[in-house]
Order: sequence, then C-alpha cells, then structure tokens
Amino acid sequence: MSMTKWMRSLVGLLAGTFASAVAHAETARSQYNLPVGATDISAQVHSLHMLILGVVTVIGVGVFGTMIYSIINHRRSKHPKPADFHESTTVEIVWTIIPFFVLIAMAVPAAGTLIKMEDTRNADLTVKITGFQWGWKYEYVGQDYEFVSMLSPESNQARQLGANKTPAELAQVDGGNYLWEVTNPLVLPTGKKVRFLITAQDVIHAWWVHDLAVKKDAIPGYINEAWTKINEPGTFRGVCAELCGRDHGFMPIVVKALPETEFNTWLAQKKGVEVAAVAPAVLTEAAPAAAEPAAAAPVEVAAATSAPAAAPAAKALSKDELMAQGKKVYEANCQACHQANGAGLPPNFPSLVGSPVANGDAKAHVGQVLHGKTGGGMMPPFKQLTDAEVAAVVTYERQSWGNKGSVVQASDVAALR
Amino acid sequence: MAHAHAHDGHDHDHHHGPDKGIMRWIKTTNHKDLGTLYLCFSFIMFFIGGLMSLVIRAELFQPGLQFVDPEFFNSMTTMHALVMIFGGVMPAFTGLANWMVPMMIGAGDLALPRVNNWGFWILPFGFAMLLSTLFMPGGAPAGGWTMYPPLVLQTGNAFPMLIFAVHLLGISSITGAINVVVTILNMRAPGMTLLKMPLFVWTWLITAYLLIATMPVLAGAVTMLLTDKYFGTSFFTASGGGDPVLFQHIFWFFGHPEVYILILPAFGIVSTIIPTFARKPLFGYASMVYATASIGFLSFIVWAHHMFTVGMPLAAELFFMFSTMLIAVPTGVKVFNWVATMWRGSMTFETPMLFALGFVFLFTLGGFSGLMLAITPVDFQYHDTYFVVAHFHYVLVPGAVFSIIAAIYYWIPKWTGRMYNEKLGKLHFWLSAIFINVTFFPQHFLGLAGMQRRVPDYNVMFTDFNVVSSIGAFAFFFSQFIFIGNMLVCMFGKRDGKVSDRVWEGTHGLEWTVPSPAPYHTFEDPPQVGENGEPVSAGQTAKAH
Amino acid sequence: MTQPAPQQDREQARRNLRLALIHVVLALGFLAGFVWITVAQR
Repeated sequence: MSMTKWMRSLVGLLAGTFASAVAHAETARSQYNLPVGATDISAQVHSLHMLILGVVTVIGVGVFGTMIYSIINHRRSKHPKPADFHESTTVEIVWTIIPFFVLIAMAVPAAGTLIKMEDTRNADLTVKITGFQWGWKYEYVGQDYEFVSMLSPESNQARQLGANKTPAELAQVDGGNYLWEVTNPLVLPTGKKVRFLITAQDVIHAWWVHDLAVKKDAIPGYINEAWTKINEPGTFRGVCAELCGRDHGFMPIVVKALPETEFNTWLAQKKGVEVAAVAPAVLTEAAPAAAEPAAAAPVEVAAATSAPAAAPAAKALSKDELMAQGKKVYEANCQACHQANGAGLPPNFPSLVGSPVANGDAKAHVGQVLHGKTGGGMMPPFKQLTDAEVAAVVTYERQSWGNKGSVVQASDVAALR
Repeated sequence: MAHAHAHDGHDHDHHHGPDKGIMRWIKTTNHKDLGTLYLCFSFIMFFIGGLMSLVIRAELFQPGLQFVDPEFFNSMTTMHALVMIFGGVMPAFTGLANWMVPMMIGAGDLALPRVNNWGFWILPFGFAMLLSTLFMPGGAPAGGWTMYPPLVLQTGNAFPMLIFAVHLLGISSITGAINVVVTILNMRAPGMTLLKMPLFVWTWLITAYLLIATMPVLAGAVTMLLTDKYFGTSFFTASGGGDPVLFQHIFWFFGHPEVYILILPAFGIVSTIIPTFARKPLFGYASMVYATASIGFLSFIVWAHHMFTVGMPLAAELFFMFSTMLIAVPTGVKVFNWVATMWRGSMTFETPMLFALGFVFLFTLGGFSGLMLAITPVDFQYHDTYFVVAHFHYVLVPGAVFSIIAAIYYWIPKWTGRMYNEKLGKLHFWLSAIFINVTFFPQHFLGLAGMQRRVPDYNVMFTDFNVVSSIGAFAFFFSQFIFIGNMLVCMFGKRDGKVSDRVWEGTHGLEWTVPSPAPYHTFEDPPQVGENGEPVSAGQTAKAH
Repeated sequence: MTQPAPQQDREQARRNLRLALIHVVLALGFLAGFVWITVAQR
C-alpha cells in the first residue's frame, strides 16, 4: 500500500466514478463502479445508475452544503442569539413536493428499463440453468446437450483453509481469475437473444453475471426467466449471489460469447464428441476408446453416457479406469467438504476413512451420493452427476485411504437412480 | 384522590427503596433499573456482536482463507446480525424508552412494571440459548439471519435453538412494545396532549405499533420452519408442494418494518438533541410527527424490495419500486427539518450534538444509497453485493448506533448526576466518525465492482478495499472502549455535584425538571403541563418530600 | 420487593391492563391473519 498506489487509487476512483464510461476497458474490470457491460441492457442499467448517483450527489451537495454553512456560521461564537422560527407550512409543502417530482423523473426511465428486462419473448436460444450446492448445470434446451460447471480445480486448491497462499500467489491462480474460473464455461452466441430458465435443485442460489446485468434467483420448485443479448464476443465472469451454504463463495459463472458461426461449430463439436465417444463404446465395447476422450473431457463424456441414446452404453470399466475418473470427480465435487485425504471436517463433514458407508453396502453408498443426506447432517444430493461419474467416485471413495469397499459400475448406479 | 396518593407515596418511600445487592436487579420493577439493565445488556451484546464482526473482517483482510472454515464464517455473519439487531440495537432502544418515556410524559413508571421485568429477563435466556449453539456439534446457524428455507433447514442441532431464541426475543419485544403503548396512551401527565409529546415519545409509540404488528408474523413464520423440519409439513419446501418464496414474503413483511423499528427511535433522539444544542425549537414538529407516521405506514408496503431478484411479476416489481421511492419523501422531510432547526441557531458542539450531527450526515448518505437500491433494474446489480452491506451498515451504525451513543451522552448526566469527560467524548466521536467511514465507505466500491455478500474469500482485485475496511473495523471497535470507560466513570465515579437539573442550557421537557441524578421514583404525583408544553407545576418526586 | 410506583392506583391499573390486553389481541390477530394467508395460499 505505497503512497503512489494510493494516489493511483484516488485517480482511478475519480475516473471510475465520474467517467467510467470512458475509463472502462473490455478486459479490465472497474474497481470502483458498475461495468457498462456487454449488452444494451447493461449499458442502460449503468446509465440509470450514473443518473441516480448524479441526482443524489446534487441533493447531497445541497443538503450537506447547507448544513456545513450552518455549522460554521450559526455556532454560538458567531451567532450568539438564536432565531426563534420553528415552522413554515409553505416551506414544508415545497420540500415535500419537489422530491416527489424528482422521484417521478427517476421512476420513468427506471420503469422503462425494467419492462425491457422482463420481456423474455422471442428468444433465439434457451438455456436452462440449474444451481446446486455448489455449481451450475447448463442445458441447451432442444439441443440435447448439457454439462456441469464448477470452480476450477486450481482455484479450488488455492482456496482451501491451510493452502497458505499469499495475495501475490493468488493473483497468479487461474491467470488472475482466482475464484472466477470454472471447469466448463457457458458458451453463448453473440447477437442472439438468449433466454435463461433458472432453477435450483437444493437451496436458493442466484445466477449473476455483472457484465450482462442479469441476476436472478435460482429457487427449487420455481423456474425464473431472464434474457440477454450479447453484442461482442468476450468472456464474462459472475458468481452465485445468494447465500447457499458453506461454499457459496466458490461457485462462479463464466460466460463465453462467440460469434454465431463459431458458436454453432462449438455446439456441433461438443455434441459430436458425444457421438464419437458413445459410438465406439456401443459398437465395439472397447473400453480404451471410451477412456481416452474421458481423460480429455470427462464431463462431456459423462454427460453423453447419461443421455438416453447412450443408455445401452453403460459397460463395465476396469477398477483403474474408475479410480482415475473417480479422483477427478471427487476433486470437483466432494473434496470441498470431505477433504483430499478423505478425513473430512468433523462434525459437519464426516470422515470417509474407515466409514461404515464407504466400507459397507455399496447400494447405501450410491444412494447417499444420489439422494444426499438430510436430518442432522446436510449432504446435498448429487443427482446431476452421471451414472458413470457416480460409479467412479463411489469406487474411488471405497478403494482409497485404506477403505475396503466394493467396486461399483455405472449399471449398478442406473439401477438405483 | 391525588392527595391520598401523594400520601401513599410518602409512606412507600421509606419502605420501598431499591433492594440491596443482586436481588435488586432480578426483582426490580422500576423503570430506571430496568432501563439500566437493558442498556448494560445491549452493551454486552454489542461487544459480542462486535467480536464476531472482527472475525469476519480478519478473514476478509486478505484473499485466501487464513483463519476460519467457510461454514464458521457463515455462522459469524448470521450470528453477528442476530446479536446486533435483536441483542444490541433493539434492547438499547427499549432501555432508553424505559428510562425516558415515563420521565418525558410525567408518569411514575411504565404502565405494566412486572411485565417490564419479565420482558427484560427473557432476553438473557434467549441469548444464552442462541449463543450456546456456537459450542454445539454442527456449529451455530449459518443460513443468514434472514433464515431463508431451504438453506436454513440444513442447520443441524442449532436449528430448534435458533427458532426458540427468536420466539423468546419476539415475546420480549412485544411485551416491551405493549408496555410503551399503554404507558403513552394512558399515563401522560394532565395537559400533555398527544401533539405536545416529545418526539422521542412519538417515534417510540409508532415503533411500538410496528413491533406489535410484525413480531407475531415473524414468530408464525419461524414456527412454520420448525414444523417443516420436524413435523413433516411443507409450507416452504417445494418438493412437498410448498413455496420457498412465501417465506421471504412473510419474513420481509416483518423485516422491513423491523428496519424502521431500528431507526425511528433514532429519529426521535436526534430530534431531541439538535434543538437543545442549536438553542432553537425543533423546526416543523407537526410535520415530523406526520413524517414518522407515514414512514411507519409505508414500511408495511415496501417489503418486496428486499427480493427484487426472486422473479416477481413485473407489476409487483413496479409497485414495490414506486412505494420504496416514496419513502424518500417523508425521510427527506425529516432531514430538511433537522437542517432547518440548525439554521440560524446558536450551536455548540458537545459530544451528544456531535453524534447527532454525525447521524444526520451519515444516515443521509445511507439514505442516498437506499434510494439507489430502490431503482429495481439497477438493484439487480446491487442486490446481495457489498453495496447493500455498505448501505445498511450506514443506516444502522452511524444511524441507529450513533443515535444510541448520542442519547447516552445526552442523558447520562441526568441518570448518574455526573458529567462525562467531554475531551474523551469528543475523541470518541472523531475516532468513531472517521473509522466508521474507513470501514464502510470502501464497501460501496467493492459492491459496485462485483463482490458478492457473505463470502469468506474473494478475487485479489478486491484486496485493497478489503484491507482498508478491515483496518477501519478494528479501529472502530477499539475506539468504543473510550466510551465504555467514560460511562463507567459516570456510573461509579464520585458525584461532583456540578450537574444542574437542566444539565444542558438548551433543554426543555419534563425530564429536566427532576433532580440530577434522577431519584428512584419520579413523578409519583404527575406534573401539570401548560399550553406551550412546558410544566406549570413540577410534580412531586421522591426528593421533593 | 420494590413496588410499582404508587401512582398506579387500582383504577389506573385496570385501565392499563385493559389496554394491554387489547394490544395482545391485536398481536394475536396479526399472527392469525398471517397463518391464515399462508395456509390459504397453498
């Protein structure tokens, strides 16, 4: 915190507050003010914000100026004899009416923007967003393609209690996007109206991307609607905004906007990976063929195996393959609570080492992963994982840290779902 | 009859002074004793809640997790809010009402003294229950003070303790509120018409009605949570056909009036202190009363502005935006009236006045960010960020808490008969005023730049402002020890006899007609209040015998 | 035990109690109203 840094902060502050439209660059986020953002709506929201900030600043200068003048000049040493007036109906009426009109002047543009924000009709693409503890599932509605997005492993390592990273080290994590990087970004086309259907499977979350000016609660049992139309390609980062339990601060959102043609290619390619991954498995039942893409893009492949077309593809994997994929799934989903060494953080997050669940009946173990645990504890259900992922992670838990449980296959999980 | 009374009072004085020792405080039905108990209790709670905020600020001092597990961090934010709101600010205002309302309206005591004792002694048990959850397996509640289901239903063994603690605090508040209402409506001195009452009494009357209307609603809502968790109902669980958003509506139907419960008495205090030190009557007394009443009414129809992002119909969002903006009108009237009261006055700046002026400045700042938050489309960006944290801390700390501090500096010479140390008082003010801004002003920037609430860790981009904010928080916390020391000297130091009955030269009102320190029983025989609101006859106090 | 201030004669106490009970009923009314709304909503 050197002096020069402070000076820079101060300059930035003035620039950020009063001329942020000029100061704003696409890549750097303002440290002081709302972003203008990447959509027409976000720009409107930003100018509304600047408008009301201006209005309250003017009122503030008036009120505080009067007060300060009075404090300086109407102190006893300068103004020993107080005046005696104590009411004036005219004045009271004036300062009731004037704010009223100021408020109307602000309410009109605000209402206009709000009406636009709530108009989700005529969307070109619909994405269903499901929040869970603690990540997001994205489903391209009508495209038969969905995936799960969670905090990136690098940030996840660095944010653990006891990781002992200095701020300088944290600044390097995920290329400067510590806590703002995910395993799989949501990819959207530019120039298209994208409608979001937002819900949750366990507790209330809120899907918020600053640059898109979209924040909507994800509520179990509700499907909320929001929309965006991104003007330029870019990467936009957001977070869960509603307290959702222990790892509320660790479920970021990344939206990657691509030009329409690139987006279409991307989507086709992703869906193609599914086909490519499933087809050999179905046709040849050759395990290595499925395992290789699994290593490269485990989540997509996992999503593929859960797709209806892939149901017959549930085939036995070797223990090593299960363990390898299970470790990845564990790191992404389980490690936050149960820790890398499986010892958990008792009493909230029980140890898996030598636990009766991990060493006992496999059905109970799979059931707990799929359906969670209620009552005293609070393990959320992990229904969003595919059969293959559940099988892998359960196997991993049952075979690691000295546990002696049985190996579980995707077909066993499918039977219990 | 009044005559017979005076006689009675005479006898009682010899037999019914305060008991000695601890039993005095346990059995007391005296409004002054209970006021002292409430205030001391609230200071213990401010201290505990303050320690929790230091845990929060220590963890947020640097990015990365250094000290606590995220679950414990969430417990700290949850408990900090519950302790500060229900244990700190509300009991402090009830304590001030206990002390001042009877003395301001010329009543001998509150109307229901035994209920008053009961209402206070519920509190230590309620908070013992709540705070004990910190030591339970599974930890303290961590779902936020708003207790939103389904998250709150994931709470472990602490859950029933949380619910029952809220029930107890609710009962305590309702008894206190009913007591204040009955006292004000039934026990005013002859000649003290409603529109001659001091503004503190008025604001408390309206506050009491807000409490009576909303605390039962909160009690009902948390009871439904309890049955949802343990008795198989599903009022708020979607999987059973319930509605999680319904809880939010009910909670904020309580919660928004609660916000005004925390600030209306502060308005009353500031409206009392500023005229005293400006040596000029309060500008627009009647409009102040009407403004308070309109704020009280509006507080019932704005609740959903806390939940703009839950996905309400457009019509509802527009309605709540407009009604919320409307609150700025009566609030503005109040601020303008305070400024007009100062205008061409003859001001001096003793510590209570400094805190009252600090209140007007900084509460108004909080009001400005409140107005910004009312604009729904922009609120989508502000909601659940540090901008909101900055906003409500501006209205609650330099708002409600500064007013409580101002009130105590203002009235403690009357209570104890000893003047506080003015130099230390001024030092306390300047340290508080500076560090509260150091703590909370940078949080506006953090929120606008995109830091969400209730997180133990953040991207390195937010480091600078978090460092500043944490330094401010620690310095603010430790500055308060000056205040505690100053007050302890007033309470236990030798009386120097230098405090007159009026205490401050600009004071008006019945409480300044009794001796300093105020005797154990005041106004056993009510005073007569004249046309101008000033006492015609002083009434009888114990000392007058 | 400390007594309430002697100003509280019987008649005053009765009036106070009556007004207090009215407010207790008022509070219970708010509770009942909200339970009713909540249940009716379902």
